[in-house]
Amino acid sequence: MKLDVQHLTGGYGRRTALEDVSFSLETGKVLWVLGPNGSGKSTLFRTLLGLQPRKGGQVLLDGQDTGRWKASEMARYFSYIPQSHTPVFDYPVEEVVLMGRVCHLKPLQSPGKADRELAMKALEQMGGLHLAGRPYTALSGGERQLVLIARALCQQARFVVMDEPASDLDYARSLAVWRAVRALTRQGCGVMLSSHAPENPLEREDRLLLLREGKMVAWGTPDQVLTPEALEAAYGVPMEILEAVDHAGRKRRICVARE
Amino acid sequence: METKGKKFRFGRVMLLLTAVSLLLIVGSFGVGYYHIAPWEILPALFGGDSPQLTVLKNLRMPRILAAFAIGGALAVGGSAYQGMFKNPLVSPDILGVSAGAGLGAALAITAGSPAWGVQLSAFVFGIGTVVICYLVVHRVPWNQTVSLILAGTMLQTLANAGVTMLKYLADPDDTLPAITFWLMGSLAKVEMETLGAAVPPMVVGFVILMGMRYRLNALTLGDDEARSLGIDPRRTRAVAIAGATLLSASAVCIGGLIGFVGLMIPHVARWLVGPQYGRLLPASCLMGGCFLLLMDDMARSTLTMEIPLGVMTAAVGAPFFLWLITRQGGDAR
Repeated sequence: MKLDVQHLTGGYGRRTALEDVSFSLETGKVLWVLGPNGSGKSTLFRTLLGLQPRKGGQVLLDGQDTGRWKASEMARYFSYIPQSHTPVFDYPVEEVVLMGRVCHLKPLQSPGKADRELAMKALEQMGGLHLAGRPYTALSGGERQLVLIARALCQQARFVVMDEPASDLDYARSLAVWRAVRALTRQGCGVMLSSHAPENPLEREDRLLLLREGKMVAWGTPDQVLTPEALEAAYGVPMEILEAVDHAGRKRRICVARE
Repeated sequence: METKGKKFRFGRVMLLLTAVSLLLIVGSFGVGYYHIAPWEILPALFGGDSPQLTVLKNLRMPRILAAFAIGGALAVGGSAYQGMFKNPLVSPDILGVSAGAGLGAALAITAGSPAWGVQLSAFVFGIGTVVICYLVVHRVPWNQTVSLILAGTMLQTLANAGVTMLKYLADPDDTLPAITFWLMGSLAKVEMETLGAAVPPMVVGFVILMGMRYRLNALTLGDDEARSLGIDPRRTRAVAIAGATLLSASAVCIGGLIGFVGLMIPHVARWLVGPQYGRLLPASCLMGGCFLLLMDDMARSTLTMEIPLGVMTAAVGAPFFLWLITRQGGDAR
């Protein structure tokens, strides 16, 4: 399944926070949306998902515009993991994951045994089975991210949208999130995620979208996008790309500020 | 496993609550001016004609059932409102049900209407206020919850101003005390017929909320997340408001303004069975019923004269709630 975003423009009222952004993503692949704070990463995701008004452009799923889709229809194709997540009530983790099934239920239906099994399986895949009975509000930031990824898995959507999933996690916990992202792609999900840092654990087949002030700076493969010029245009800081070879003989490109 | 333990706990809690409810309901028949000993209650109730039966059936039964139904309805309405506004400090009158009902009652009393007219007017005005509140906010596309709460507060102010004006103009010898008495909340004048008319809408409201319990769970995460989980937050909230308003409007129209039950009980219930609506709603219902019945028993037996029910619930409920808040502060996230 292919997602095509064409000339997407969005914002509240007269303000335009996102202007003419186009890219595409296939299931099984990862798209990184990079840019400094306020560059429109969240706006892009929220506009794409229909959580805030779209002013122009199209979001096409295999050629079909999702603009007039109902929430329940959208949820079968897209799951969303918002940035900071602090619910008011202390639902047990198991119930939070189970909420991913809501879009598959008929109006008066309750989740059944199969749904519960699916939720527990998703939690197990994310290595969070031991969290099942704990209150979600009592978890650490990293544990919450994993639970929400499990919920996305349980939702069985073809695309998972993650807004800065690792921005407030420590190093080891963010590695766990990256592992989870790759696990999602192996299951055939397309993953869209944002990061405010230029340096990320990329793979060759990943796609990158570079934003600044709501506009596209560059889009393409890591080799095409990660150039000193494009990075400087996005971050406003002189940048350089270092090349190195890791233990497995893979060529790695590392972005650093030129100071 | 931990989760199974919790389910077991929920079953036990419900069993316990049901037992307490039944005991309280039967025991409450023994409370009142006409002395009937506890062991005489059941024989009198099922033993054919006697002076005891007349007192129990005509005076105490409607009152006991009304207290239980109203308490349950307010608590269920409160838990639904708290979830859909993802705000634990919301009470069922947040969208103006009570204030509107108060205005409706005051208008009917001023017009010299009989008791059933006052109740009907309170019901219609209570629901009408919420409908106006919803229509005002209906067109707001984003951030609906804040707008709803603001609009509700404005409408409450407006309705209260109307009540104040009516009280100011009222005849101090009969109309004014009648209005004041209604606003204090009391179950002294409840009859079986009015109760029979008020319970069906309560049941409908409860069934609506129970039917959408999983959607309500998702709604507590906020509009964006609810939508991304596949729920239309505006439509879901509209249905939930309808259910919760049916409950609270029917409660207010027979009992007057009884505060606190709808704010406090959901917290205690959540503490016992967790925030999942499938458990919270039935638990709130029984706990609200027990609490208000107990309060009403105390209101009519503590002093020789009757203490207004609204005063009683506040006097017992507020200190308890304050204690609960200090406890929550200690839990620290």
